[in-house]
Amino acid sequence: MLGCGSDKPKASETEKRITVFAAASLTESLKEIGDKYMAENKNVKIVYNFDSSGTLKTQIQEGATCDIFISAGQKQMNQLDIKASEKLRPKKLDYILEGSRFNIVENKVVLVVPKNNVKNIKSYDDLVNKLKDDKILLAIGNSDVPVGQYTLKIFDFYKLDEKALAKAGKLTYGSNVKEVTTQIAEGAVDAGIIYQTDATTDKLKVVDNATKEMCGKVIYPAAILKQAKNQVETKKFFDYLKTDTAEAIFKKFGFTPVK
Amino acid sequence: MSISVDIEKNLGDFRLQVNFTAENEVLALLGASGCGKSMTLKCIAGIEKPDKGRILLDGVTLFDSEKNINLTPQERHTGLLFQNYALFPNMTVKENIEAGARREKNLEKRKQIVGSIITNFGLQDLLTSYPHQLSGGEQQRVALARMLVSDPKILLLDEPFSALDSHLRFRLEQEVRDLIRSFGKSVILVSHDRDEVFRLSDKICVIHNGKVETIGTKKEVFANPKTRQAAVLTGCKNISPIDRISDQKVIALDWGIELELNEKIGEAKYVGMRMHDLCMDAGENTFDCQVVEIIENPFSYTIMLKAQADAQAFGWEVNKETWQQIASEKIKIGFPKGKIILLNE
Amino acid sequence: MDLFPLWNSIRIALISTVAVFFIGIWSAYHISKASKEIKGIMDVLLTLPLVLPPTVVGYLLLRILGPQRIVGEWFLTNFDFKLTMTWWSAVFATVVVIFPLMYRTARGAFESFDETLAYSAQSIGLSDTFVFWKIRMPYCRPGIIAGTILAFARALGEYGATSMIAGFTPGNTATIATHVYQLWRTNNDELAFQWVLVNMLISFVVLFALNLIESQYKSKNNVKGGV
Repeated sequence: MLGCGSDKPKASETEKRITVFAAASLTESLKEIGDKYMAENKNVKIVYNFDSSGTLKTQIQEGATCDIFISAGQKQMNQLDIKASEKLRPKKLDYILEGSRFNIVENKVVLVVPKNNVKNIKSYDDLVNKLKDDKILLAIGNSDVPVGQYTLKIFDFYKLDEKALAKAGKLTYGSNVKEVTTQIAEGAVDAGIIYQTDATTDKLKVVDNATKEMCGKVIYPAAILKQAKNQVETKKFFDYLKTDTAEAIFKKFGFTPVK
Repeated sequence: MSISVDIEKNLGDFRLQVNFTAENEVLALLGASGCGKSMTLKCIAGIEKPDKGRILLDGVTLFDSEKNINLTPQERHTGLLFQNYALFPNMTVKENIEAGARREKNLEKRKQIVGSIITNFGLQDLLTSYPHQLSGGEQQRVALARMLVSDPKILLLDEPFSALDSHLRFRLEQEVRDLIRSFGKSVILVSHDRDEVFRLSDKICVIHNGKVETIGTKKEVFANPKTRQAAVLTGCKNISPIDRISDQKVIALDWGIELELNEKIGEAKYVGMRMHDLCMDAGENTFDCQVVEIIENPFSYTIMLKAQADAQAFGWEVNKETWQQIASEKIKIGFPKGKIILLNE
Repeated sequence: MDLFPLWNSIRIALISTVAVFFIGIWSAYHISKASKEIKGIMDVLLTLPLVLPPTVVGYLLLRILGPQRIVGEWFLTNFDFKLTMTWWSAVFATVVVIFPLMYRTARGAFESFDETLAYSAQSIGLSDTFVFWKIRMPYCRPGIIAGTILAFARALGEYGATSMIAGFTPGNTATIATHVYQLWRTNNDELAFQWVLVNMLISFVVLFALNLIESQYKSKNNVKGGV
């Protein structure tokens, strides 16, 4: 590598790029963590791609450049991890760097109400009772987004008939989280089921959060991909995500750190 | 039937200030485009409002800024005719005319007047046609019929012939002239065409930049336009600024010649001479001139002449036969004293 | 196939278009007669919903008509009447979103009117009412019909503002647009596509009918007007 005609400068002098694919709900928190890291490590540039976990996984499969992957559920990570059982990994993919995978944060599925909580909803139990008897309007996500799927699990747990509720005009499906949070903030709906992080961002009043039994845990696994270019720098940043500083930032945005 | 107009209106670039009267005659407002003559007409019709002044028609006050009187256009009973005739495109000829007769509340009478005007104007064959199907001349007749059937006290014609081809103009001018004669009441005609104005009107009011420059009978105004602008508007093309030599002698600065006058110079700053008034045997004010250009018109020649090599040329209009007899490069031409027009600014 | 979204969409689109027809013409006529300054300001304000993303329009409407806001609260306390999350909430959203289309087209139609027609009419003694209905309107009508067509078409397709202020409650506030979106998101592509066809069919029928009226009207009145 004498450098004749080659324009590859010396490794230590260049800016190292780390590409992070992460679930959309991690946008603000990860950006802040990344900015802090870059301020202390001037030779590193962190580039993000925030999107739905399913889309990201597909992009990785299609050969996108990616060093770190953080998904909003085990499902997508499993599909890429050779360590996962074949049942969870139907396409037999092997993208994850062995030993790097860990659960980084947890999100909670919370019940939010408008500031003046006209219908006086105190908890999930209370909500369920009121849904059966009173005229309550609950806003939830569509079944194609994770939080919508978790909501349906909660309904199953309480043995509620989603279709019946919808027919009775007690459910409204939001096109996106912003719609739901706006409708709650304005009191146009009586309650909503969203992620803690969305509630924190929009400063909504949380009255309850779902337990493991109700809908499972919303765990965000993170891993370094096998194809990562700058292995040293990538590992360094990856480890930074486990530090107290990072944890504090995650907490600020409403995540629950995983011990 | 008389009309008296004395109004002022701020028009942005200049101020409109007109004052005239007309008494059972045709008064023409002659001026360049944008001088305010159409605006004056609109003020009389009531579709524009002057800033101040008075308009009286037949003893009825149409507008009086001090007494706060401002009649609606409908109440004024004026007949307004635009260049484009403004026939209602969604109505047939018959419906257009009937619209004009709506003031007559008695339906029987209304039918009668509509019927008679249709006959008078020969519109029987056009009744079911729409305006866009009519020729320019037909449109004008319908527009005139509609206007007359509304029984106006005065006719206000805004450049009635501008939209027409020249060969149509002559014929239609005749029709309008007959109409005016039979109308018998005052007519105010707005135009920038001096020939048309001369042919149709009794009195001329020359307007420039919103001000009346000259007013008088048509003969008076053409013979003595009084101001340079009025001279231009009445078609005088040879105009030169002057310097006083004595009470009755001036030097025309543009042409470099001295002229003797019939009258005292007074305050005059210019002289004008109509092209066809120059002549070869004037006796006085004659000069040896060089022919610099011969311009051929359909039935005459305009000969551009210079009395001095370093002066500007002036024009002489002469008929074709005469020129063919005397054509040469040098001509002796004279400015008859009686035809010299003295003009102020 | 549950046909509720169909009826709901049609009634919302019809009500909104009728409302906007009158409000749009009225405001277009009066603003076209106003001074230059007022005209300029009003034009910008009234065209705003066209420029803003529908979701933003929905958001702003929610902030005005929501139960915690002045207007919404007033209706709630005095009439026990909810302005949001009902099927008629979609009417508010749709009216706001389609208004600029009707307004600007009508404005254009009025501006194109040759005032000398009005002047002549007045001088021969025709009343201002006659001038408006029998001369000005027929001249401007093709433009107004065009505006109505645009407004109705847009009303049928309205989604973003409606979703925000009326929500999506199946059988209650669902429109064709929000229903299709829901089906598509829950991977019910085939049903979604069927609804898209229904939507296109209605639009085609309505637009065809209106175009027919417009061309008939034009030929009968020989008006050169139009958008």
